[in-house]
Amino acid sequence: MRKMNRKIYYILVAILVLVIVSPFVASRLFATNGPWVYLGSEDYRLVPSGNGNFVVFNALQDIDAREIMEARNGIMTDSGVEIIPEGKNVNITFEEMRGRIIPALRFNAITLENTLVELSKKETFEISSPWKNEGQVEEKLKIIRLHLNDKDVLSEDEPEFSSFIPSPDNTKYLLERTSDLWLLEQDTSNMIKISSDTYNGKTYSELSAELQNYVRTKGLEGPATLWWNDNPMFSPDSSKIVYITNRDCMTGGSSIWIYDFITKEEYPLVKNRSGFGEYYQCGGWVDNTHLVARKYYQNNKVSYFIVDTNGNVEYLNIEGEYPVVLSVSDQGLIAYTPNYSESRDIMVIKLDQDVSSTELYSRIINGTLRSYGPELISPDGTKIAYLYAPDKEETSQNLVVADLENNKETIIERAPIKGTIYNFNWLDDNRLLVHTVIAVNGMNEISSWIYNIEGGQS
Amino acid sequence: MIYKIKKLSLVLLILILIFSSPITALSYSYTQVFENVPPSILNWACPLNNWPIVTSSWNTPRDIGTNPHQGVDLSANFVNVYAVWNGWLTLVGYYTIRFQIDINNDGIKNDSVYYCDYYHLSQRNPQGYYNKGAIIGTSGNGGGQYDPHLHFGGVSSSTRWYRNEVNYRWTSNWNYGKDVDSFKQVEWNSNNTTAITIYFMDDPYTYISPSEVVIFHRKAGTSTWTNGGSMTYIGNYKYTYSFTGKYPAGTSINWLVRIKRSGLSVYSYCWAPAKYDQPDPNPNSTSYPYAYYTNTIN
Repeated sequence: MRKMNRKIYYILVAILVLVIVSPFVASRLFATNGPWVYLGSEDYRLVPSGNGNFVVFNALQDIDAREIMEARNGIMTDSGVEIIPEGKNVNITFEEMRGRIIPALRFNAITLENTLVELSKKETFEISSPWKNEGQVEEKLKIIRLHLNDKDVLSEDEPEFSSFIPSPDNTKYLLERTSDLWLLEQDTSNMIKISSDTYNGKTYSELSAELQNYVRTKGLEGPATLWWNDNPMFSPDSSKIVYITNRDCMTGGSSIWIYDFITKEEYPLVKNRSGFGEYYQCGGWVDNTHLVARKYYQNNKVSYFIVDTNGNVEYLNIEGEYPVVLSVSDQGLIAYTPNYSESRDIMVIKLDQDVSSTELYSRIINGTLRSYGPELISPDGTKIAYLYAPDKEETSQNLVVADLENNKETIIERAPIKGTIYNFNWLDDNRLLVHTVIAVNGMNEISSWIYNIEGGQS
Repeated sequence: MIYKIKKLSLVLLILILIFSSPITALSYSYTQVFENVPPSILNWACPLNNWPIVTSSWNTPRDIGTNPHQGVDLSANFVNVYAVWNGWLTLVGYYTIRFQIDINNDGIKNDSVYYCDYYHLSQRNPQGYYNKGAIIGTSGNGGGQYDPHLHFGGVSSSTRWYRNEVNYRWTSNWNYGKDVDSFKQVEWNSNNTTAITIYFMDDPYTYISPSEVVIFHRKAGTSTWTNGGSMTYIGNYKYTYSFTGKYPAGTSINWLVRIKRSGLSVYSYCWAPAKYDQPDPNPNSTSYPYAYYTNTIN
């Protein structure tokens, strides 16, 4: 009898605890929490599109990827041969798996009220690409047209693997391949090749063969890729792109070229002094006519310069033993670390008209920088956000949001629940899309949040 | 006397030249450079943005660099390099990152030792723990390479290179991972038929079919390999071989595949499973134990 009473007592206590605790858990999960708004245990990623579009899709989680692998694998034996059970189709495609083995692809708009609104597909169309893929089978791109407010946003049907490069004004999409560059205009459904077919009268194939031959005859270690128009980067007004090529540097190195959408012409911007082994990379546009570029030398030294659209070069004097530019904004801001191999400092400078600069922000970080992409500066150029690991061996990451006008900083150690901070994107000048990560059965599970810099309802 | 010494030296030199050249040309290397599937098959992230082209796949016979290729080359022109999984970054030499995979993502080094190596980098992030997808360096042509590219791949603690395509079967890119390895999914079907998918990647970006795919097999526990001849091409870069009628039901068999690429000036073969650097094309001509697959006849 006594035992029975004790049992009932424990059950009552458990029910009481549940009643008291569950509203707290629920509120933490589903309601706003100070500056944080929980979007769900989904990896919501931004669809690559122009400025001011907050369309997200549900990216694959590790658990989904495992499901795909499970579907495409046989039973792996110790010796590495896979036993394929009768009737199993290990060649099942993504298209066949969507909505069955892995979640259906969904597109949502993030509203100004920090809610998600599911977007329906306005149109799905296929682009019959003029190129052939490696297997010489005609490759088709499936494009989804989404309607957001008064404009359209285009996405590839698997946006996670999209290589679309959208223009800031959301009117153009580029698709870059090693040998050519294609343009899809927002209001059309045809891709137009904008790269030239020849250089000095020679085609991609001819020059590529020449390059291979050069490498072989010189006994150099390859491979030797001919980049016709690598890493294109739109100007802020979407009127031009810059890109890297080595079609004019057959003995080593690369140069920077520019394509003007108005004149539909390309021209070299920074020519390589052939044979000197200089490699270039564009860092980003600081306004509509100037960009930051870097030059790598054979000895792995690097220098930075500002080049205008007429090809005038001014070297950029940024301090440090091994400075690396992390982020560039079109307000003329440059975020960099003076010694990349240490990554313990972060600086932000603003370029003046004469390429001199003013320091806006400088911090010695109590840890080391972590980065997932180039977007550190807010769209309006008033703030910077970055991640650092407080201890290099630790798995946690802190997020810092700093006001570049008054240097006021907020250090965010974690979201209210769901693990440690993983990465972030700027949504607008006061909101960040933040991802957190937690290991579940050895796999990363990503959750999505909005962080309101100006605070939020609690 | 001096004349005699000179004469003797000349004779010796000629003898060395005569004997050393054929030895060099015909010598095979049994240095173990490859492993089979990695200790854990994880869905790795792309080490670069936008799934760039594979310019040389793992275990591809070629005329330059390591032959067959140890690792995977990706087209990468001084761009960000990313962590393929959670793990610990350590720096090796001047241009290399050795990234220890935290298999179960618990932040503790308690898993099988398994690395992803990144070569020819121009910049490297500081050592420490990085999450999957974090930037860990910049590609380049470090180490005197002509062309900036990323050489990467899974390796064991003794730098033996694992098959990588198993880590990329989750993505439709790189032909569901097939582009990164010379031979891909090795199948054993219920009708005692084996199937193996083979093509090579090389610069410029092309699929290269093997010129010869020969299977060797034996009853498990025996030492002599039977040359089973060429496997049958069934399209889509797939080759099959039926064991029906060759061994009684219930027999455990070993088998391996010799793959040839035409047009090479020195060693033209790679093997499935891969193990040695450049072993003899005839596995019966040496006592070195080749790697093999094992199955039981139904």
